[in-house]
Formats: sequence, structure tokens, C-alpha cells
Amino acid sequence: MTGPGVMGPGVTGPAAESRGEAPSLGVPSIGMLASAELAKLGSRVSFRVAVGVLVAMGVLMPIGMLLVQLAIRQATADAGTQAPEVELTMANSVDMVLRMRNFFVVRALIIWVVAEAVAGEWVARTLREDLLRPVHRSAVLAAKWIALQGFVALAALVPLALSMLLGVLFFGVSGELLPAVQRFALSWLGDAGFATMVVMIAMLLRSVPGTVVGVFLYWVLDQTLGWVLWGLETGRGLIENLVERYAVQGALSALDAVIAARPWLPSAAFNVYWDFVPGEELQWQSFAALVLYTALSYAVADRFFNRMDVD
Amino acid sequence: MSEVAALEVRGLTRKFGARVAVDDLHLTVLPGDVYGFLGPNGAGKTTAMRCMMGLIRKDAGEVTIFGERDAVVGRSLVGAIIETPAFHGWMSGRDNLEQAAAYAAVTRSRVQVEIDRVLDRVGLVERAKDRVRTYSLGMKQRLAIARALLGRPRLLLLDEPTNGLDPRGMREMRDLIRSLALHDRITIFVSSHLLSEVQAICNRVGILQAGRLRAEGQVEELLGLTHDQPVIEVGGPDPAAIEAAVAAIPGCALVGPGPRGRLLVRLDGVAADEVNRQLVAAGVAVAALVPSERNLEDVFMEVTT
Repeated sequence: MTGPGVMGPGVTGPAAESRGEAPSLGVPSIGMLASAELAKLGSRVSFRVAVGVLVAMGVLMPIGMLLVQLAIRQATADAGTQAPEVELTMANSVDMVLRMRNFFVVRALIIWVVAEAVAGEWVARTLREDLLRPVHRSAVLAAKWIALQGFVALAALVPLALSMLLGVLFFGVSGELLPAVQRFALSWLGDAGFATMVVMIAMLLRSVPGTVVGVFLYWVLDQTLGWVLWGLETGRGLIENLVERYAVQGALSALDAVIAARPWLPSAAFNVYWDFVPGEELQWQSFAALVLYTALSYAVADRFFNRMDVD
Repeated sequence: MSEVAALEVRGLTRKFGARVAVDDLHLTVLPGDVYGFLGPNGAGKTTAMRCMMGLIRKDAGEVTIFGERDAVVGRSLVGAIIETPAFHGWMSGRDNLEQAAAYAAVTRSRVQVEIDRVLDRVGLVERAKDRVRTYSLGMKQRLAIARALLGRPRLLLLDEPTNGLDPRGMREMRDLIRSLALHDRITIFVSSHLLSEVQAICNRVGILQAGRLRAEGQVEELLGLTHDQPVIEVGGPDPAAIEAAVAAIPGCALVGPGPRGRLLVRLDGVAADEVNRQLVAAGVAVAALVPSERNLEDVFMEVTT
């Protein structure tokens, strides 16, 4: 291999400038950075495994449903009886994939991918190398966030597209597709907000295991609050009796105000699809909370990142 | 009009709690310099360089790069290696450079040409497609230089670039730095505690101790090797008598203690044999009077003790 000391003259610096090759003197756009971050994200093991899981979900569930349908037909034909009432349609296929995806699978993948992409870069000190360049820290965070939202979009679109495609192939165009697609869209929104919150936690804790633990602690706190509020709502009648007996002024209105906070909890915000009923209005509080928590998480991450020393 | 400094640091201060890591640091690197930033371990070299590059907050002071006060725009003129360079180990050297090229604002149409150029410059073309985790430390250092060269910087900030390298790797890195300064005319700011290395490649040095710059100047000046003001070592059984006699000789200036208990004396318009004659005439016993063989290590020890 050629040693560096014996190579010919290079073309950087003033010598290069004299030949009309000026230094770049530029600041990269967020688009350039986001594109680089996307390429990097796509090369990560966590991303590839996550996409594999998403594809498997989108494929296996419709195939499973097809096998169920075939088994039912066979059993019906063997017994010479009427087929049981099982609705297997394309819309059903989409809905089943959605349920499977929303059962912690996608959230776990988001935690993994975000923790590696944000906290992992702190630990590996590759973030420091990026910051030695002519970039604003806010632009770096924006680029990472955009790239991660690309993954969140894939996490919604890949299972949706595969389940629709295989649903059409196996069951034809059947069932009410719109509600299922709407639920997918709502899940996507919730995931986008959740991913932003994980970005914030990863920025604050700067450790991959720390991020996982941090999200878990958030989840415990959020669930505990949810159960407490649910308990208060369920036991309101009992509490009302106690309040009347001891004549505690203002206690009931305070209780109602606390109970009314339930749709504002992060769990309600990041899972807006829970309360979605086709044809009915969505709970605006949960939507407002989703926007609020997403914006707040991003703002905290940005502020922290801009103020932190980078070793 | 005076020349715009490649790097100008004025009053740079950084504290960690009560400890002052960098204390009112002033230094100037001129275009074309190969500037050695010397200091013992813990002197604050890396902290100062982190402040200069905006990695960590500074408590006071100002850093300008080719007259540019805006830190982000200033960084577009600099390539830097701070401490051990980090890479995405699962990616190839070329892929790592593609990532860095985006951050260096290299336009998409020029990325491949730029990467080929810097790989060729550091001699890594053949291994460019291999994963970085398979690279040796020396190769990683060269890849880091290649990365720093993206965007055609006019100033390179290198923090202990030969740390951990074997003698061959150190030699190659020194040659590369010299070549970048000589052929590419890039101003180099290199921190090190390896004094022989700095003496071999730098024309100017600054010596940092406990966060403060204790000395700065041309290497020749610091060594007292300029032809118009040579330095000699004078030794004898009574150094105090020598010191007093030297002070009385016109054109002689005491520099300080030298090696082996001798005194360093700067000659300004007076010949060494005349000094010897006057010392003897003054009744001072002179056991040795030789041209100074100081190196940067001697200067470093004088300044930092």
C-alpha cells in the first residue's frame, strides 16, 4: 500500500483555489443532512431488522387468515354442515395486521431504532464528528428527526400496503376498508409523536439502555396515572356519597377536573386510534395532547442539544 | 494591511465548576503556519480545541477563523480531528466519507470526486470499500484526515494525531502533515505532548500549562537559535558568580538555567570568545562555554516548571 508521505501533491487549499477550485464555504441544508441521516439509518442493523419484522407482520397475518379460511372450508366440506359466521375480508386482513402492529411491536421497534440513532451516536462519539462541521445543532436534530419519521412512516405503510395487497389477493376487494385505513393513519400519527418523545429521552439520557429504561419509566408512570384516573371515574359515585356526608366544599368539581384530564394523558395522546369509532367524532383533547406532547418533546430535545457540551 | 490570522483566540476561558481548564487563552495562528500546541497531559489543550470548534461552551473569549466570527461559517473553513476519531464501524470507509461529505456541504455532484481525491491523498483507496471496524488505528487516523479534508479546508486542527500509532505510523502521519502544509498550503494547528514530533514539523509553537499560554513564538526563537542572537551554555563551579559576571558584560543577557547546571546566555552583538575573556578577567572560573544544544524539551521544561 502506498504510504501517505510519498503521494503526489493534493489539490486543496489556496493552490486549489488558484485553479478555480474554491473551498465549499457552505453550510449544508437540512435536506442534505436528512438525506445523509436516512442513508445512515437504512444501513443500521436495527433498522433492517425492524423492517424485516414489519414485512413479516404484513405478510404472515393475511396468510394466517387465508389458512384459517381454508381450514374452515375443509372442515365444513368434511362435516357437510353450514360454514360458521367468520368474516374474512381484505378490510379484516388490514385490521388484523393493524392490531398486531399496535400490540407493542411497532413501539418496541421505534424505541430500538431511535435509541440507536440518537443515544447510540452520543456513546459512539460519532455525533461529535458531525458537529465539527459547519452545521447548526438544530439542523442536525431536525435531520435526525426527519430520518426517524421516515422510519415511522415505513412502520405504518409497509404493513398497510402488504396487508392490503395480500388481502385483495386472498379475499378480493371486500369489507369496509376506510375505517381500517383511518385507524392506520391515526396509529401513524401516534407513532410519530411517540418517536419524538423517545428522541427527547435519548437526548436527555445519552445512553441506549438508559433510553429503554427511561421509556419504560415513562410508561409505568403514564399507566399508573391512567389507572388512578380510571379508578376515580369508576368510583365517582362512591366518592360523591363521601363528599356529601362530610360536606367537603369544592371537592366534586376538583374531582371532575382531575377525571377530565384523562384524555390529556400521554397514553391517550400517543394512542389516539384507541378511541376512534368509525363515523363518530374523534376526541379532540387527545389530538391536542398529541400535538402538545410532540412539540414539547421536540422543543426540549432541541434546547438540551443546543446547550450540551459534546465530548 | 495586516494579514488576517487563520485562527485567532482572544481571552478564551472555560471552567468546570471551580476548576479553570482554559484560562484567558490568547493565541494567533498565521496562514501557512504549522503551529504546535504543546502542553503536558491535563494542560487544557483538548478543552481549548473543543471550545474553538464549538463542541463545548466557552465561558469567555472569542475565536475567529480567517476573520470569521460566526462559529458555523468558521467551521466551513476548518477540518478537525479532536481526540480519537470516531466512525460508523459497520460502514465502509467510503460510506463514512459520504456521510461526512453531506455535513461538509459537498454538493451531490462532487461527492464521489471529492472522496476519491481525499482517499488518494491519504493512501486509502485500496481499503476504501472495507468496513472501518477492520481498519488498523493508523488507517483510522488517515481516514480521519481524509474526512477532515472534505470541503477543502484552509485550516486543519489536529489533536494528538499520532497518539497510539507505532513508529512507522507516526512517521507516516508526520510526513502527511508536512505534505499537507507544503503542497496543499493548508495551515495546520496540531496539539501534542511529543516534543520531538512538534520540533520536527512545526514552525511556531505555543506552550500551554494549567490552561494558560506560557510561551508562544517561532521554534527557532524559543530555542534561541537565531543567527543574530545565538545562545551559549556557560558552566562552572560557582553559577552565582557566573550570573553576576554575565550581567556586567554588555551585549549579554541571561536566558535562564540550562542543562547540567549551566546557565543559558543570549549573545547580542558580542562574540563567545569575548564573553569567555571577560569572565576570566572578572576572576570567574569557567568550566564550559559551548553553543547551546537546547531542544524544545528544554524550553518546555523551563516554561512548565
